Amino acid sequence: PRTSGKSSSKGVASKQGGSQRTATGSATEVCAPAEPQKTLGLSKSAPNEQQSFSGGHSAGGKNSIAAGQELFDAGKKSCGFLGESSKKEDTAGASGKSPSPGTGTLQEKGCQLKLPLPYRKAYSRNSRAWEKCHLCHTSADAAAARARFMERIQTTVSFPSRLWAHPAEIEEELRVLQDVPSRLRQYVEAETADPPTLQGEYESLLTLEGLQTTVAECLQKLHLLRADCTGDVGSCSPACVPARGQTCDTAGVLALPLLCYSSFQELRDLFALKLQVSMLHQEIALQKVLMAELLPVLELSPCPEGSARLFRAIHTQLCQRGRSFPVLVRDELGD
Amino acid sequence: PARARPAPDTLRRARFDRPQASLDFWRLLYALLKQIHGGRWTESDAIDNQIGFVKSALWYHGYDRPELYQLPADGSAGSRELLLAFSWLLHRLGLLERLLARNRVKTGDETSVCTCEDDLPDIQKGTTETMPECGLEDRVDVRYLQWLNGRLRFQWQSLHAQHQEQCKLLHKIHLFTSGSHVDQVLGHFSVTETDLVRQPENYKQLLQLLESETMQLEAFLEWKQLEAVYWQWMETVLDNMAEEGNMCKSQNTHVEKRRLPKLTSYCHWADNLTGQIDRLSKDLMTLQDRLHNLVAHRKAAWCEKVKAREEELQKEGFPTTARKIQESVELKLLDLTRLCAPKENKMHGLCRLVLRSKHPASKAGFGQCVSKEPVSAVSATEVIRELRMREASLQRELEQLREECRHRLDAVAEGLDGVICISP
Repeated sequence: PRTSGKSSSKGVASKQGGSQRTATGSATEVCAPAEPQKTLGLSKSAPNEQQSFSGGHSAGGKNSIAAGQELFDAGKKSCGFLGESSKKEDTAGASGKSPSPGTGTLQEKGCQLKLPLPYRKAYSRNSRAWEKCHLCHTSADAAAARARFMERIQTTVSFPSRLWAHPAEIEEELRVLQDVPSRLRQYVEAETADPPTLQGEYESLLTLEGLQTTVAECLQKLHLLRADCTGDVGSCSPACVPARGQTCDTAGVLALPLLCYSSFQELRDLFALKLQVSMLHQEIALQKVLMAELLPVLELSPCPEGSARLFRAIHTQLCQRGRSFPVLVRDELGD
Repeated sequence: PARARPAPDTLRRARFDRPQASLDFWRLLYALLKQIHGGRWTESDAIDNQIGFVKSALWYHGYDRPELYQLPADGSAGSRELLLAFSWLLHRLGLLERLLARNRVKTGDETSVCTCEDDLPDIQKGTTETMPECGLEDRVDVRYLQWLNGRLRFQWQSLHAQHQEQCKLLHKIHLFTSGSHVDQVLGHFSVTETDLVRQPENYKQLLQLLESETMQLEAFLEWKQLEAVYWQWMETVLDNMAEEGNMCKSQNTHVEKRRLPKLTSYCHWADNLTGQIDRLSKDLMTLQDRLHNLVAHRKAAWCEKVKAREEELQKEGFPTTARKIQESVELKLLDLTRLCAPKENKMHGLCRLVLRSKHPASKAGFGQCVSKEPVSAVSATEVIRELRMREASLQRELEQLREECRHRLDAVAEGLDGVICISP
């Protein structure tokens, strides 16, 4: 049920009418540092924070913002809406009296909700158009003409055609190979236990030999890629190599894929892992930079008096994630 | 962006290599390529920066015409070359499809699934400029670094907590609105759509965006119908060039020599990549050693056992079992070889999050829908598995770096006189 006036009665910002776009922009900043203490009670305390989730937040204007941020904003926005319902389910007896009759909770009314007609129309038209585009293919004439053009342009190139892969390809191949070592390791681990039966032993042996071949192939591929890398240097303009472009299959690109999760736990794991991977990327980058900056300080300059402490600090940072310290002991004989 | 949009006439002028069209074309290519490469372009970027960017991007994608790379950096000439490059990109990168997909109106809860490195700013280049020399006055206290590090860690933790909270809310919305969506394949509302139900008046812009996107899509469909004309026209451009080319054949020899510019220029990209390749190789080589030992050991043991029981095994029909085992091992390892080959459907970019129960009885099944074409769907389980692998390999990489630090610092420790270092 679409209630414009009623839904504000639960203490959601009374600023419903005016658009508070600027307010939400800053509100998210305000929310973020305050979160850590309140995360557990977030849903319960939502009514108190609802003024920051005022409704004037059009998703349309947010299309250019990174998805993560938008998702976060939208999620925060819904806090208010759900805060009411989750508060009610958290307290015993979810079907108890709702202070504002007519709104109901999302839990109760969720499956009966209907999208407004204009949106439904626009959405259906839009998704039909996407489908048509996804399914439409290039006419034979066009494909032929295009192929001819591409071929001709290749032959107009006035030096021997590339013997090696171009940068985008190299990066793509490398990306693929990133995960191979850990997968291989898993297989190897699986074979380390001594198998009980003779057949088991044979199988294990064959598997290990197969893995050996694979490793050799991968190393070979890496070797070739490396040669390609150095071969390409000639033409690159060092100033501004673009950030890794994303080469994906063009045909499939027009269908927005779905990421299907089946349980709450899965969703949480997904997000947690994504963050973890992202963090590791950052940690690695930081580690490299710190190594480049800090190690020379110790390795090159002579050792002034305070250097033991400096050494310890750097050691902690670079080798133990800042979590533990090496112990430095003075090498003096007691008097 | 309005500025980058060329007039239809520009293409015609470019065909005849009119210099006026060059600037427009450079800008167009810049705007398009910047979108593909995920950057946010600033229209105020100087033209020579824009041109430099376009050239690197074309190089990155393997565009081989040297004439393009020799075009002047002020954008005064070369519109025909640019026209060629543009057409090449159109096909090679699937420019139109990519841009449509990239700028898709978001109505759902979206997240990305790829494990590629996020667009980290180029840290290496930055530090050598901003980090002060180790002069006495400009020292940075290492404790400040420690503090910054601690803060970073804290922020990661808070981010994690917020993500988890967000998951909870997302899940609720998806669960509670199941069955309400017009689109059966999706099944439930997204956060935006739920809010849309509450306050439809706030989403006028969204509707407009949807409408305009629909128009773009229809324009795309029209283009597909007329595509043949474009490519045939481009062929005539090449024809023109060929005719002219016969007249200035002699100049081409010079072109070849000048093709390879300063090899001495430091190539950051190649360096970065060779670094990665070396690390991976090192990883694999350690694995290789281990395997080598394992296999040698096992093989020796196996041969002994077989020798001792040879007759007995023959009688038991072991050779047949052996063959079966071989086949099953091949099957098992097939999975692995597929892993090493580039995946065609490797997904980058965004996916819409959808809650779907794993009931085999459900009509939707996985990725299939009764009413429409099967929509490509990825299961979170898969993604999670891949992420775990990625996490493991990144952890290992980090550990390797730390190991290296430990070695180097141990060496330094020897040099510290009067102090013994005991690492934890």
